Amino acid sequence: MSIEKHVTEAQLKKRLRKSGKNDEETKQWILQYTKTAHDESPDEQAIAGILQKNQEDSVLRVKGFSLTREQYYALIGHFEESGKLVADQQIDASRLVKMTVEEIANL
Amino acid sequence: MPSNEQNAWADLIRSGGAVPFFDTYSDDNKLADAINAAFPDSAPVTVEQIRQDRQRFYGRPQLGEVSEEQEASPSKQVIRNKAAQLIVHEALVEILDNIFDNFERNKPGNLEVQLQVYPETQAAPAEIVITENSGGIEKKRIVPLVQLGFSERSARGIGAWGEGFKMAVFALGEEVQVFSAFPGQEPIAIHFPRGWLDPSNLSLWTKWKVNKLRIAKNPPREGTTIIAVRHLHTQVLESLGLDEKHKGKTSKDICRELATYFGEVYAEKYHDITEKGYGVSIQIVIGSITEKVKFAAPVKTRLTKHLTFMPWLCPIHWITEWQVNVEEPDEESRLRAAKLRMEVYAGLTATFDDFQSYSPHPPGVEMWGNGRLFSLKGRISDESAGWGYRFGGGGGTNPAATASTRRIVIVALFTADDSRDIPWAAPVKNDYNRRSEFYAEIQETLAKVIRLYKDAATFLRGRLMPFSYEWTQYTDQEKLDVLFNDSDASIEFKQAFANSRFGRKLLAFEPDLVFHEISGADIECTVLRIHGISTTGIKNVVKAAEATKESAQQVVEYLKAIFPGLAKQAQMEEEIRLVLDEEIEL
Repeated sequence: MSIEKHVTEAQLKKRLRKSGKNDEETKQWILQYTKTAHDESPDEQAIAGILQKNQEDSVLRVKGFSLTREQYYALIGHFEESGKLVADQQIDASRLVKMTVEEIANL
Repeated sequence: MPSNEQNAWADLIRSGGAVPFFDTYSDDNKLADAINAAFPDSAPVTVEQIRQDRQRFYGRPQLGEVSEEQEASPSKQVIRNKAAQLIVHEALVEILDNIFDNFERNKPGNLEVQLQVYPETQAAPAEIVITENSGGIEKKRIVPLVQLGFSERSARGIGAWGEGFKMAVFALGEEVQVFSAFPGQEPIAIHFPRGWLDPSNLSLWTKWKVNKLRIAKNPPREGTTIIAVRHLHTQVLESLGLDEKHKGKTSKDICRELATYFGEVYAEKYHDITEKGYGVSIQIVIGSITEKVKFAAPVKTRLTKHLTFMPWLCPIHWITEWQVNVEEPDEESRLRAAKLRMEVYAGLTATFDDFQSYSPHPPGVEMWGNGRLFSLKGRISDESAGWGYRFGGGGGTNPAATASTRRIVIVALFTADDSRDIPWAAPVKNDYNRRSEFYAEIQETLAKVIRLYKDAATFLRGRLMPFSYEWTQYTDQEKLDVLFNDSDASIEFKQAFANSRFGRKLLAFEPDLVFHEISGADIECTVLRIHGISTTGIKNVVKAAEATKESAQQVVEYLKAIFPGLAKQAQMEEEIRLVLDEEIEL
């Protein structure tokens, strides 16, 4: 992909001011932008987020369900509300996967 | 293979009757015409054959009378046994080692080596003739050449044990002639006649002395040595595709194979010599096929093209030196200060499918000594090179060298002024010497290097590629295919990614192909110390890459996590509504 137009520092400042930033905010924005370029270490928080999400997915896989994420959270919410701690033992998995989020939430 | 057809020219060559013809006709065309006219019932001889035979049988130096008897090895059985274990490729590099050493000692100009293999004909048996101009063999160096265990070592040389040359020539054939002309000295010849190393030949087997001879005719040019090995062993003929039953590789294949092998084994040596302003040329001729050795690029250049340069787990270049006193009964002081310098290049390879890359080889540590590859039996993959190493305390254990660690590439380049200090196997330098004086130091250093990369050995290729040289050679479409190759990304998804600000930045990303420099023997070599990231951090990054397989959206999330700078800049640019073809220039 070729970059066709270069935005100079002066043009950038003008734009930032136009977007409502004052001189100090403009300066900070440019400083932050420049500093960010040297950010090379992996974003640990984002990596942790990906792993967390994956862990939840693997929980679903392990339990033999084929649920969407929304269905899963609805299910968890339902059991939390109803005070039932052991979820999958009390629900017929084959019936569950055919249910909508609303139906699960109304269990 | 020689045919049974009557061949008058071959008869003349064999009987010595061709000499007057060569004397009379200096022009090959005229000689061919004369022979074909004189023997109309015989198989016709070609001009090319005349040319080759003139060079081989007429122009070659001829042995003269004995000038001196030289004590040779009293341990013929040792040479015989060791020679029997050498394969052709290894024998030839042992001979080339001596040539390179002699060249470095003399530095007469550009080094030119021709290795010519003559197939068997009706006129003569098969023969290997090596002609080289490394400076000639000095009179005082004849003893090391013929006696076992004597080696005239040159600084940073390759010859180490005083056995290589002798074993190598006898690994190839039964009769050996060496002709050499050292500047300012009378040209000399050494002749090991057929039967010299044959226990069934009672008269020659019990003879220890080797004659130093004058050269009767056609002495080699000053600074030139010619080594002729005749009566080649059956396995040598087989390896060179010259045996009767041979049905496998053609001479062309074998020529090319040898050229590739030499080009790899002497790659570092070649670049070292050429940097000093000298040229090196090795030509292989088998019958009518000629192949010139093309030397591989230097190790560092090749690695730069194949490793992945993630800023937080980039390849290292570690230089360390050791010195120990070793007992040397042969030397006056009985103690010698052995010194060894080790340069290690290591990292994770980005790809496995490139023929030229390091990756197609089995996993392990590649080893070089004074510019010559010596892990010829395969990379070193046992605990001696740090695999499976147990660190003390809670340091953990290294993995074994298996298919799952093949992404870890380690190359150790050893240099030593005294070639005995290089940890290569003896007497054939084709393996790592596990009895090296520096065994423990080498093992520990390599173990630390393996530990640096072990947690990332299974990193997904698609996530590593943007940090590789290969990435810079791809088209945008190829980059998109690599990034999403293990996901469910549709063509539209890839296109949308390519048109996003982050996507554009990533596609334009150029990795910094720079090794992390380390020096010193006792440094704390951990991922935290070297790369500023914890072991857990590395494990999580690798695990997360695996977790994002299949989902294109998660791949994008992951890429943003490992390119946080690009992701953040893209986000900031979107916030100020930069249009797609605009780029901030600060």
